[in-house]
Formats: sequence, C-alpha cells, structure tokens
Amino acid sequence: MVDHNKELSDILNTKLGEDIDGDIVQELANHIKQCQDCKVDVDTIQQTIKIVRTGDFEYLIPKNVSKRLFQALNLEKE
Amino acid sequence: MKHKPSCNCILSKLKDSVSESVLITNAINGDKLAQSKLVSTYSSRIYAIAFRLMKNEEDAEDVLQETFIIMLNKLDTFKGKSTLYTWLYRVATNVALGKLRKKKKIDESAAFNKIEFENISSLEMADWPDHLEEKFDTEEFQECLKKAMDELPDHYRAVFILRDLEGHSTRNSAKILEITEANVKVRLMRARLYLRDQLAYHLKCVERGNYGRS
Repeated sequence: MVDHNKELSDILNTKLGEDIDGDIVQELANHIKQCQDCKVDVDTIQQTIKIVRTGDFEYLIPKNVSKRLFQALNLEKE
Repeated sequence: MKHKPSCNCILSKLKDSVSESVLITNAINGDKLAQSKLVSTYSSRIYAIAFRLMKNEEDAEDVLQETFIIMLNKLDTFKGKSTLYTWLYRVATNVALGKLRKKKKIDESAAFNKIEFENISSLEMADWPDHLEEKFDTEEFQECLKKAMDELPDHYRAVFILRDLEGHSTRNSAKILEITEANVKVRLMRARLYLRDQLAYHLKCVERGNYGRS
C-alpha cells in the first residue's frame, strides 16, 4: 500500500533540500490543500514518479550473459 | 495503523542474514559453491542497474563482470556495515560511472545540464487530468519515457534509479554513490523535474492531437 504521508514528506524533503519533521510536513500538507500552485507542483511530481515506475525498465539478465559471467569468474553455475 | 512484523517474518530475515554471512565467510575462504551462490543471487539485480546506467547490453555485461570480479577479489574487505547487496550496488555504480566518465559521456551530460537543467524550475506546470494511465499507456509514450531517461545526465539518472525506482533511502543512495545526502536531494529533484517536464510535453502533444507531427 502506498504511504502518501511518506511520499509527500519525501518530495518536500527533496524539494526543500533538507529534512523536515512530521509537524512541518503536516503544516505544508495543509497549505498544499489550499494553494493550487503548490498542489499542482507536488501532484505532478508524485504522478511522474508513479508513471515512470510503471515503465518497462526491468532488464532480466540474458542466459548467455549469465553463462559468460560464470565463465569469466571461473565458477560453475548452480 | 502501523503494520507490526510477525515473528515469522523477523525470524526469516534473521535466518537469511545469518545464512548470507556464512556464505560470505565461505566465499572468502575460497568455497566455489558459496561464490556461485552469491553470484547467482545478485547477478540479475546488478545487471539491471548496469543496463539502466550504461544503456546497452555490451557495456552492461562489462560492468556486471567487473563488479563480480571485484567481489571475489575484495570480499574480505566487506565489513558487513551494509548489506552485501548495497556493497555490490556501490561497486557496480562506481564501475559504471567510471566507464561513462572514460567515454566522456559525463562531460557531454554536464553541458546538457547547464543548458536544460537551469530552466526547469521556471517552467509553469498545469494540473494533469485524472486517468492519466490511459494517455501514457502507448508505445509512443514508452519511447518518450525511455528517451527522457536516456537523456538524463548519468549522475542524475543514477540517483533517480536508486531513490525512485529501487527505493533506496537518501542516506543509502549517498553511501552508494559516495556523495553527500544534500547532493542526492538536489540531483533527485532535478531528475524528477526534468522527467515531469518531458511527461507534460508528451501530454500536451496528446491533448492537441499532434503527437509526432513536429
């Protein structure tokens, strides 16, 4: 399950460049609810991360690459 | 409510870490089976990070082999302060970035950085519509996303992969890349903003119905 508070806190931490504690995160979260510009800013960053995560970025090791790795290391594959 | 890990879960993790430390000790002592087991356990994940950074199979394979050669030769220097995976990750990332630096890709990226990255925060951002997945679930978009990831300067991409794709903490990413935590944050924010701009551009094109025309 996505922890939205953690996600928001992470985005704010990186945006502000410093670690901020829970109370300030809550204060900023309240501000974001009312401020359209900040809301758009944070929402679109959150969505960007989510969308990039859905991208096809898994690269499985090809069998021949794995075989050559074990050969180079002089090991037998289990 | 916070999830409290069950006893079974804690015991299983403890068992894994004990068995890994036995494997490491045996591997240091020259046990080929233990060495093979460690290579088998981590080679896929190390290949994935190598591929993401190098962007082609040949270079990714070089990074993979060098990483495990270093592991076999220097495993006795592993102090167990981090997990073996984190240690290997650091080795692989450094090998990859070293290779990219040699190819002078870093210099090219730095030039790109000056041109593109200074303007990112000044871009105006409109709100994105709901059900974005439909707009992004196309071959064109996957290409756009890959291109955007490829265009990210290496040191930004490395941070983005570690933090947002692999889920490492800021502290861990800083340790792996041997940079400060503040640097991780700056690079991560810039990478996120750059990718967001690319997605926003894609979205505009889709909405105007002129994707790929210009």
